[in-house]
Amino acid sequence: MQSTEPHTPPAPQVKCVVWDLDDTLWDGTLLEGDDLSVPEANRQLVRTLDEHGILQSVASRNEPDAVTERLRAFGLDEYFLYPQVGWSAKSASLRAVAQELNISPESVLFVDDSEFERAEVAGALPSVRCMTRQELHALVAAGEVLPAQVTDDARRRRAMYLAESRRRTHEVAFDGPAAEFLESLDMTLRVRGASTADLARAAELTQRTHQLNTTGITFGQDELASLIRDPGHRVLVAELDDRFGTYGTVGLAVVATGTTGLAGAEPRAVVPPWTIRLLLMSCRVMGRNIGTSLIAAVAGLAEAHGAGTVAHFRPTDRNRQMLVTYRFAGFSVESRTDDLVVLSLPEAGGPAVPGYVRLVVEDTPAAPRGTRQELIA
Amino acid sequence: MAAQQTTAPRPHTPEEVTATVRQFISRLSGRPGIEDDRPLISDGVLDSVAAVQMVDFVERTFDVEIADEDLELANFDSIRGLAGLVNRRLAAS
Repeated sequence: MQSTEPHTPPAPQVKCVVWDLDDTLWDGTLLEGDDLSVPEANRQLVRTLDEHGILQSVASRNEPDAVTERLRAFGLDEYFLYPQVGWSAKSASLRAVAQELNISPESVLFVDDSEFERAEVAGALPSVRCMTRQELHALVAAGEVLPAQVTDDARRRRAMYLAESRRRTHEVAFDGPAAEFLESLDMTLRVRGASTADLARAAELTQRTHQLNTTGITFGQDELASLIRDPGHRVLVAELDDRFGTYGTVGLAVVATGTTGLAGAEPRAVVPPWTIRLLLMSCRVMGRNIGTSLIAAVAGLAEAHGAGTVAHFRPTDRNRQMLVTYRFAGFSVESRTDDLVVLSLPEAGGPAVPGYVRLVVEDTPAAPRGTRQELIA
Repeated sequence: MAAQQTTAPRPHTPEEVTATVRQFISRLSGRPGIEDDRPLISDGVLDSVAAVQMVDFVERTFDVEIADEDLELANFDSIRGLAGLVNRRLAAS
């Protein structure tokens, strides 16, 4: 009856694990006044799932206040988003969690010691995977729950969900012109040279971002790794925070500097311009003029190294926004072939960073001969 | 909202262009009565995404093509600027 036959097509990536509490997350029954304890293996698993970017919640028939207090005492309360504690059916709790997190039921895994509860959930939500904690531990050990690779952003996923939820509440309640809303966010954009720890997220951005993408060039992790070491290139990542928390890594720029790291010692006339081969922004920050800020950061860095700024644009059916962004930032069209527009920034005056974005640029020198980052095996 | 793409006769006089642009901008911003010279993007009435919506709208509505060279802030930063751009394109076609 249960929908866990092993020969169905590969199960979708688990995005959320929803825990029952009594005799599942902890041993003992809260309402019966048992002396509760959380097995070390469970504690470890909660941390492991969290570090791998898998969200967690709770579905428990219990007294909400008592549960909150116990979870806090165990030091586990912060791990669970939208905990569902009360007397409603567990299928309703799972539905609520999936809805709050905006994920589909087939990416949810439900763990409960009670066969009755598992059957109730499986009956109402056949795509939710239901199991005991022993089965969950086994499944994780078999490598079927955790994603193969963990990005920094995955590690911060829980915090990002919380921030986005507070941000959305604010946005819905906000009534005023666009600029005042943006002002109210108190945004800080940090732009810095990518390190090896950023590679997975950076590659993912080149593969997933189509709309706010200037050229659509996709880079694999290996290519990005060699560009990071290439003295003729800068790979820059941009992280955005606002008063609600972090958006994570939302932008990437791949810039050909054409120099061997000696720039600055030469007069401006002979310093080749920096060429932005790719600049992209996650759609999560659309409408916040973050693209302009990232362009300003690159142009500012180029100028600090005595170089001008050139940008490539390859039109697709979806990325005209980025051409507009370059043009509004002051770039003019230099040349054009069938599929490549070359733009350049006039020497006088780079783009202005909007007043509502605090821009922090870290000028990480290119190719520090392996001193800065660990070697890639 | 649903029926904006019907093939009604297109307004082509400069006054009609301005009136249509005015209407679109007030819909886009959710604010009626914006003056023709009021800076829209540089003053934060609209965000930069709106520029692309303006391009799509005028291309569709007036059957003109907006070239890459036309993508200048001045052409999109006010009702007058956008109407002027459309009228120049209409005159050239």
